[in-house]
Amino acid sequence: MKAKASVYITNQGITVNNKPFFSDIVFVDNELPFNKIYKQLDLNYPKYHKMDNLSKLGFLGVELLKREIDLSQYGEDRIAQIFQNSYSSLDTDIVHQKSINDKKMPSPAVFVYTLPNIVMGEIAIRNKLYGENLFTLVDKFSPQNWLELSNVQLALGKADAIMGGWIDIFENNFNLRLFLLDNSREGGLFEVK
Amino acid sequence: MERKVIYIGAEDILSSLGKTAAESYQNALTGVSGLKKHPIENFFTNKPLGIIENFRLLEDFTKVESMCIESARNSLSQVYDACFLDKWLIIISTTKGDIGYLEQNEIDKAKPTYLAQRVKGNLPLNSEVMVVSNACISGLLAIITAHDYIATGKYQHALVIGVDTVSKFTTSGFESFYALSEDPSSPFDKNRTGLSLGEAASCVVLSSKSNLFKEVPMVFVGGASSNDANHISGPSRTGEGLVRAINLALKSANVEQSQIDFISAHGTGTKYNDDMESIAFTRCNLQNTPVNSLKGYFGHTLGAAGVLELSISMQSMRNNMMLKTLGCVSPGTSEDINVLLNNKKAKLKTVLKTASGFGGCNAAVILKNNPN
Repeated sequence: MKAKASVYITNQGITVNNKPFFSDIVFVDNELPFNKIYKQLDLNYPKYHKMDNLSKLGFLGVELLKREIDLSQYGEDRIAQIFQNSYSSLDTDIVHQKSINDKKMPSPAVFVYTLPNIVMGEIAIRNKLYGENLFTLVDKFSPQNWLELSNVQLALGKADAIMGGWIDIFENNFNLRLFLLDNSREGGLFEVK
Repeated sequence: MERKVIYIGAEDILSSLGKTAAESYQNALTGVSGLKKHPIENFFTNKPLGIIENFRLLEDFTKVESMCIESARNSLSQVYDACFLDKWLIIISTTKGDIGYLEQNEIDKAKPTYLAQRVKGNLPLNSEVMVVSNACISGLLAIITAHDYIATGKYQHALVIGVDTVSKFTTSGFESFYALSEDPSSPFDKNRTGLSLGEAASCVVLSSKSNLFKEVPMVFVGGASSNDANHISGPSRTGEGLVRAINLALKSANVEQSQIDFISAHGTGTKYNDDMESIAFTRCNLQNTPVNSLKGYFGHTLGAAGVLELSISMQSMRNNMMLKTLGCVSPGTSEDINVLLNNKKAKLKTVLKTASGFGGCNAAVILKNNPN
């Protein structure tokens, strides 16, 4: 099964529907490019600045995806979000843990992001998506496993489209592979990999 | 396509109230709470917690791993072992897994997938393992996912293991939100002041074969999740996501509101959560249906909560007895709902279980008593 649209944001750069995107953004080691992408997208969404890096990554991915596909063609509760990763929310967990180790009062603004599914909440809020949510953890991205989970939801009629894929970040390593699949007969053009 | 009947049974609970589902249920029935205060240096807080005390670890395993393995073995002892050779799926539901490893900066071991491999390697099943980590709806979502996989024929049976322990990581986080109650939490009470945390491992088995189970199983008839699309930490003022999850679950179960005999709610004991649930139940026309929360017995067991609370509901169905909401004296929520203040005998044919969590997620599951 192929996706209608795909977005990759990795340490190597960005591709949208398999074409390089924002190639003038230089990805530097030890520096996350998210705020540069946000700026280039010319968005005005103050909530973005409060997000942790996992949520920023997913949020930006969906903003890029929307350049290729109109989400409003699906009902507000007919897009299911299914994401996977390996590091769960450990990228933010270590920030919370540090305040415990340092005997400081932890910050609730950090603690709320110590769950991997929060990124789906941020995407739901931004795009008014009331559909199903599922966050699973696996050692590495298995397109087959993700497609299987997606097909189960489509087959049971729980959604008309699935938005999600792989979203992982730990310190300076990040990897988003975002796809949109739907139950239309013609299918998509972009391989899930 | 004729719909497959999916059974659920073999429930087990390892909690502050007991070592089995029956023991935890019996203690709850007599009004015992597992919540009590502990020295502040142990868990960062001196607020009441539901801790499993004097727990004997399996050799070379952490507490989280040992709890999972022990509960899973208890659950599997309730199914016929000839089926162990069939196609199984193990789903672990957890919010934080073995987060204690983070104190020593052991990142790879703090990953819940590491926990999953450790647990799987010590169970007698020929199976794949996956982890669902979706805040406080993880347990119900893991059970729904297990159902959906079996319904589409990918697996024959699934073992769902819900687990979370009380750690400084979570207690300090909830303290930073001022969410922990000074006294054991009192869900739906007009004077409620917050939640109490607890720890547990709890298991259920789902299968397309009813003869897998030694005791008569229940039937999983419907389940769904929905997002509020409103706020990442605050419950929706309108209960939107929970209303949608309940309505979708009813629809998939082909059940009318009026057929629901009893609701096992999320009921954390925070002001906003319990108000939200009262609004959602009323919007679903369920305001007169008897409802309880089990958080006053076990505390909020996070990733285990959905599995544990559904397991207690299954015990309630087996015993035709609804448990009171321990800690609730005078109900007081935005909308008046029918909070159980005393244990009550009732023939329970159809039961609704709900959960809501950070990230705006909500889930609902409906079980029926096996007609056979």
